[in-house]
Amino acid sequence: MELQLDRVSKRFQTKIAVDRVSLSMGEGLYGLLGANGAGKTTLMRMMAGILKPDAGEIRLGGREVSSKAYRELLGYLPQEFGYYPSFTAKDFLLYLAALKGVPKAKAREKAGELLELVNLTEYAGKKIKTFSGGMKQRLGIAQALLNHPKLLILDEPTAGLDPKERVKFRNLISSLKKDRIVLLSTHIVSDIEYIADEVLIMKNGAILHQGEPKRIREVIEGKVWECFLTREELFSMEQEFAILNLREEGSGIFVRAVGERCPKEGARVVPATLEDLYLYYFNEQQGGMG
Amino acid sequence: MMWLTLLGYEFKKMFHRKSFWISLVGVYLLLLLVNSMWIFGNVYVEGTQVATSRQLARDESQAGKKLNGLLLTNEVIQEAFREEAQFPGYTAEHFLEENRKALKSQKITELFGNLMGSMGEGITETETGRSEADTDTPDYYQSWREYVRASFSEEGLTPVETAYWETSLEQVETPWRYAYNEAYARFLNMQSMNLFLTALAIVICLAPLFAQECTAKTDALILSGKFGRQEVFWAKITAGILFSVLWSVLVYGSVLLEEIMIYGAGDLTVPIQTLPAFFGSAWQASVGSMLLILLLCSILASVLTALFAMLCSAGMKSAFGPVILGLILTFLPVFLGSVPRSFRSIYLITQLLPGKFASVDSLFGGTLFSIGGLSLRAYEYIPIAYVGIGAACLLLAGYGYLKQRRV
Repeated sequence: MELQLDRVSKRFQTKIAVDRVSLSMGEGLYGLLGANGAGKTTLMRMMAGILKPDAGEIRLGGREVSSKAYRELLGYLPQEFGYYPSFTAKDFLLYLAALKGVPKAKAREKAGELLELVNLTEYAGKKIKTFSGGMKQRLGIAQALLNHPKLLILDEPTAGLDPKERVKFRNLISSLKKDRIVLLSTHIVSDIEYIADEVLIMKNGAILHQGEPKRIREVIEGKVWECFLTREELFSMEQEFAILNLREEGSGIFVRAVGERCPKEGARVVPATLEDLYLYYFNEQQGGMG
Repeated sequence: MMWLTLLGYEFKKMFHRKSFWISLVGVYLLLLLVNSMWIFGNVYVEGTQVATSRQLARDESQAGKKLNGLLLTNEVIQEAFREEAQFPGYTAEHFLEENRKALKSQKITELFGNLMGSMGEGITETETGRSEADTDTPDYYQSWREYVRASFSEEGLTPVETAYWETSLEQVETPWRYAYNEAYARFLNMQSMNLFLTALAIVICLAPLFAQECTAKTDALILSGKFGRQEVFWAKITAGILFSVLWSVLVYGSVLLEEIMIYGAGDLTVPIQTLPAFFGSAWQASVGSMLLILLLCSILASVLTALFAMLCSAGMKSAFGPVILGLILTFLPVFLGSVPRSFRSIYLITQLLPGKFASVDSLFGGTLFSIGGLSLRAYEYIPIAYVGIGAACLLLAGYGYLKQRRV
């Protein structure tokens, strides 16, 4: 089953939020990487069928995005996960199961399974308003899986979580990609670097790159440098190189940067990471090669 | 079945809102209090407390039961006026007993006193100029018919309306059988207040029905669900309508029951003209049928208020706007109540407001809607108009529910 996007566009007054995006996604985990305002949430909302594109088509296995048949296969965790504070976790899952068309008897069984999957079984009878941020996000994942979706859209699911929770989440999401299309958006590179089968980099409403993490890093492979600089050298380097990281260290400033040429004698080439690529594209204040 | 399940959850969401219970319980208690507040008072004669209001009501209720079935012939009416003219007045020592004895004449003269001129010493003058000294008994019902006819021009009725009510007047059977229907008289007196408070609770309870999903940020989850559009929309609409009907039945039923418990059930089969509010009516109907129409129209008015509140809720992202607009709709009848009937078109339009439509004046007033030779009373044409208005509200609510969320 494939998710097809064909020249999908969305404009909000004068701002183009999504600019003629065409994609084709089969089973696997896709990481949608982009800064705030890149258009990730808008694109995901259109793929979730809750925002109508101004142009273009979205289909899942031939099912049009506005159809019930499409929504039957969809699981969605929005960026701002809403809930009813006085509902218990179980009540909330049962309600959403009803919304997704899961029969009552099956819904109870499924809710129990999913609460166990996300380690919330002992909190099933507790009101959601008593949950921590991480617990709410886990509940969010659980509700997205109620109807055995073929397309799972997770919009910044790790936002607000501490590093430990984020790792747990990452592992959980990674386990979900079997037999389904999982699309995960984030601006935290480590969320997807180790688990995504493909990465899509989005900027100003357009997809700049799509491919396996190893392959898209090749854009800047051999162009990532590390060296020590003085403050004056750093100032002149900033005009030509995209500075990725800075660290004050006793004798000077440790710099990691992207550029076509070697910035200074003694600088060494280092393997590029996905984070380097992300910073390279979204570091607009640097006079970089983006 | 799925739709029923979703309906159940809509009620669950409602029940989980604090504002729901606060407004419901608050308004309910206020309604019961307002309709019976006077009963906490006392009765005084010449500065001396002679009874509590409760005692008086209970006493009157028992005495009033003996009047049920009394045929108000001209002789009975004349006798009532004589008794009242000869009544020496209340004394502090025997107030309750005196009141019991005077109740019959009091209630009759309360009605037919509308026909009388000023009263002299022991002499009662009728409009025909007869005095008590005359041996003939006045024809009070003839005077009554003349009285009603005179009101047609006072109300500014059109020739078509006048002809309609003339025909209806001829059908009113006389003499009337009387019943002590104080419970229903008081219920009618409080109808406008009851309508207002009932609508207030409906607006507050239903304003968040759609808007809450935006506030709680659950709209994305709902709209991405298989049944998150039409099915959820209809579940919410049904929940709103069902709530307004059940709430209205509870409110009006409770208030009516409260009055009946104080004053007794009376007799619903007697003509409406035996109630002071309807003495000048040319309509042949029983108290029971009048009450049934009033209650059904009150429920219909509640349903329209509910549809309006839901329409606003569907088009807005928070419950605040729908509450304000709903309050405006609820208060409008207070401000537009004084539109004279001479401004006919505006008057007819204001009758469509839920708070006006189900009021006693509007439902049973003389103004008719004439179309194609047919003359329709308010309780006949307005429900038909409400079907159209209700359908428009539903269409707009559906549009608002989806467009607001840009799907």
